[in-house]
Amino acid sequence: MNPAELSTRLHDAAAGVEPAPDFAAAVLRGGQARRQRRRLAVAASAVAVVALVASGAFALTRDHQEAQVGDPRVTQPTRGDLAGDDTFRQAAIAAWQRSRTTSASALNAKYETIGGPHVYWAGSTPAGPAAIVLQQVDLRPEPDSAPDWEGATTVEALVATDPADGQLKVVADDWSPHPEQQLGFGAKFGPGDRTVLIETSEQTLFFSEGVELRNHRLVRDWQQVPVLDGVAQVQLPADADPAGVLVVARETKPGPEDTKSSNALLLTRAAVYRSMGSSLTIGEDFYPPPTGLRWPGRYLSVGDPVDQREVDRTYTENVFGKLPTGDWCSFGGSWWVAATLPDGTIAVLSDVQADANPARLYGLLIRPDGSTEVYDAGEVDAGAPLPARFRLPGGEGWLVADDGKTISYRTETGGWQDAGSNAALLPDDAVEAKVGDTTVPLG
Amino acid sequence: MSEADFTDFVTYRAPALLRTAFLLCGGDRGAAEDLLQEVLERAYPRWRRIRGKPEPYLRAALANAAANRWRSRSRRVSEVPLERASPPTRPGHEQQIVDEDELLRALRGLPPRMRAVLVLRFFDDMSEADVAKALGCSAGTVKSQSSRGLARLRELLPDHVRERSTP
Repeated sequence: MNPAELSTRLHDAAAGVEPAPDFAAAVLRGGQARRQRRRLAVAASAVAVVALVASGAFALTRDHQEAQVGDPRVTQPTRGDLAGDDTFRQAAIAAWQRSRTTSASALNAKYETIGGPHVYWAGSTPAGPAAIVLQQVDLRPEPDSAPDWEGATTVEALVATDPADGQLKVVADDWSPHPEQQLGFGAKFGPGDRTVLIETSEQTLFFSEGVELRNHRLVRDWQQVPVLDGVAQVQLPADADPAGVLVVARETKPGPEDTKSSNALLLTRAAVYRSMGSSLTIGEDFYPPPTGLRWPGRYLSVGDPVDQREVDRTYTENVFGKLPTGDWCSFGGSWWVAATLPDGTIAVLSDVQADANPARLYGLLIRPDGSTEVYDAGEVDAGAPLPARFRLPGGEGWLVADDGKTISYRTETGGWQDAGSNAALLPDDAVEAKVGDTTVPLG
Repeated sequence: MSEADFTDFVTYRAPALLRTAFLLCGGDRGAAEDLLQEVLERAYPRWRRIRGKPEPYLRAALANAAANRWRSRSRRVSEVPLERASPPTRPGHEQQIVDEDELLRALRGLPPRMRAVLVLRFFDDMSEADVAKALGCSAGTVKSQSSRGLARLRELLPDHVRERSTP
């Protein structure tokens, strides 16, 4: 496929995509509402500025009215158990100053600083001393930047020891053009990115280490995280995968089935952050190769054909949608194999990969009444013969696939039986399968 | 430009911008509509201050907003089933429809900024210099990202789609 062919195919793929008939009216309503909110915010800001100037707490150095909005946090004394450690606070400020022009935030937007940096929090963590440095900035709109990247906001940076070189540096930073909508700032850092630190004004945070398969459902266990001095900390166990972590701000504890990320705090992963070399190579070095099965576009039905979109939807809802998306990328859904069992149950097998973790196979049973059961079918070994194997519960057999190969099988007492090509549903008592000329033990 | 100009612009140009957004979002129709609506709503208060033609400005804003969706507070699940807004309108072209779905799936497997380079360069037909300006990088980076993006896209596409000759 060359560039001209790609151009044609992109136009083909997007052809027929049309906005809803009331789209223009909805945009106009939304735009007017935003303008009204903006005017009210500017008016409120002016009042706030007068108050701050009168109190002497904030020096006005800019003529841009919206840039004069003060973040009240920068006038508060440093919090945390290292708040009185001047040497560490100065080291944290110096680390911020060193990275200010090369940080991911600086590379993603143009801004001018308002006043100096402020150490909002300095404290001990399992990954060593850490500090949250705040810097008020005035976002400067560029001709092609997003329309809302304008006005005052606060860059938040986490300064900690980089396990890669032992140096104190900015290991994560972030900003939002709409700080009022932010739930907080958080990062996963330290050895293995297993230390989670969150700065938040929220009072009730719930933490989940990862997704577990329990009673054939993908679930999460939740625990409340205490917020002390405006900061919450969690240390992951050595065997935990940082990509699976979810922290949400909710009024009540989520249930185990609640694996969604609504009201979730965005946690920057230091390993990903460190890979940000320039604005366009974000994550390039980190971008992991897919380790799942490379059968894109293969949707194999064994026996009666299944409804592809319904299988897609149900698998997404019960498997993809519940598993962590990874800190940078995820793969999955580019192939599956499905078989309809005698009782009408549809068995589905596909694989999922998040970040650089090994791809895993997940089996899904869609019962005739619509209920579902999820099964872990193991890590993918893409180079192995018959790499997709799922032993169905209840002696229903083996759902197997090896795209492009002929498949046969034998039982303990019988001879080789032809099972077709690409994918098959083998009897439960099959003890060996043959893929091409290669014999594969089952069980 | 007046409010009427803005309304006219949205009425007449939203379909084209939505197609760009659709590809930038890897074929996620709902995300594309959300993205475009948000970018247009935010452009509305600043409409009079946009210098030059608004469409290149909005296209660049769309690309940046899509490429920076990792900033958004709650990230969408990156793998979603493909849903077309309407049934295929070209009877007899079912295989082509399947191929297009595969292309969208493969697009979804690219890092967002690499995807943005391909969409701006090969769908919106922007020059390397314009893409570089829009995404805030050098033309050389656009060139290398285009090349690597095409190569990765080929890896992610099924053989029958990769090898289908252009009509």
